[in-house]
Amino acid sequence: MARHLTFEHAGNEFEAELAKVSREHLYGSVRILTRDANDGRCTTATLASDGRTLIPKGGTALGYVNTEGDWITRDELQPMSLAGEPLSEVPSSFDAPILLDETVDETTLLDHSVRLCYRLVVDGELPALFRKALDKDSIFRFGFSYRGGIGHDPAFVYASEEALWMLVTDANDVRFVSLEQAALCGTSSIDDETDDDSENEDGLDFGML
Amino acid sequence: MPNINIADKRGRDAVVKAESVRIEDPVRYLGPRGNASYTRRILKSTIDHDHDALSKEADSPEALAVALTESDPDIDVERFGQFLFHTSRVWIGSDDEPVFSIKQLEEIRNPLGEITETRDRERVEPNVDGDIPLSWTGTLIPRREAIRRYVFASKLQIVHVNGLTYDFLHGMAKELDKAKSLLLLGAGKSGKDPLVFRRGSVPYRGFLEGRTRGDSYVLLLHLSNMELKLPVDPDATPVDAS
Repeated sequence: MARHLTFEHAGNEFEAELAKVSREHLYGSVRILTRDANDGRCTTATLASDGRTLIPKGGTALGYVNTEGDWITRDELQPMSLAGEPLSEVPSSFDAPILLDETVDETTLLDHSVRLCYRLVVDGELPALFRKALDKDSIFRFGFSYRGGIGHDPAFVYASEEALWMLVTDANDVRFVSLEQAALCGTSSIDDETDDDSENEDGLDFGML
Repeated sequence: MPNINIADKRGRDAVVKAESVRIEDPVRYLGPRGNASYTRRILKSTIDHDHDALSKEADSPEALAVALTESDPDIDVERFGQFLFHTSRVWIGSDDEPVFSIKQLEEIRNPLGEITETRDRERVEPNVDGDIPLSWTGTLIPRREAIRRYVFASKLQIVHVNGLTYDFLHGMAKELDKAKSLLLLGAGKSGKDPLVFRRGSVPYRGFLEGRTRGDSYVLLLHLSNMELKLPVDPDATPVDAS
């Protein structure tokens, strides 16, 4: 069942339903099927370092241990920032109205990588002041947490010609570089996925990706 | 950090670096006395202790249930709970034995989850660091419009590797900053192909954005494999094909 968020802008509240939009919704999907020489279905398993022990899907778990290798239960863990300051838990964004009081420019949004894309479906009219702000290309930024927990994810609300959108993102570390700052070593972050094909009207075919 | 072979407006090309801009997880967890904590992968069960294996050994489901409550045949107390290091991913067949020769197919589904085609798996070759540079297509999309048309799921910062490539990239950034637009980058001979960073990885459309501040610059390669648009049938829920 779709969930609803409550937003507050300039003292006016409105509710919006979250409708997730993904590549599968737009272009379809590709599923990889693996077969053996006899056309039998194959699945993945984990092979332990002894070269003999096969571990099925779900046969491993992650746990926390201290420096002595002793088990630490989840409720004993203390979340800290990288600066060493204790972090407190934040409530779910569905628990209270989200205040839309910060606007940013396109460059700020472009500094973030989009993780989730939602269409906001509003039943009825948007508050007049909010509509006016959207018409002026305003982009609203706020912190979003689906279930609550440690910290918020940066999220943005803005309108295109088609719809009102909410993007949940990851912040990036984009820095100006000068002549002295030639390339440093690092890793890229292009994740593996699978896709399909379809057409795009302006010649940029995203379905083929 | 991949190399990128990129051409400017004049068709001059150079091999430069693309750096990740991702921020590492900003949260770390400490143990009860403020000591450091580490994650470890732990063995929970093995394939010879799963339901299928135990069912084969027991005469009936009832007998298996009795065995489970009386002698815990699903638990190997000597091994379960041990830390796992240096594991490998393998394919196994329906007999739970490793398979050494596989073939892979792609099952194509439309947005409604219906299978439209099944074909041999295609693995696209990387094309960002080959003989043919990524080309300056000349297609400029204003920033305002770009964020309303495309979903940028990832990005890389293009950086110079020496003085010559500094001038080269700074010039590109300056031009794009002036245009306040993103430039569509294309790969391949046609200059229209999407960008592929590793063999078989996700192809992305690449959009180059430039910013300058005096002698310093930012050249960001925004990667997108999705448009910001409504589905054909916004109310339809696709079948999960993961």
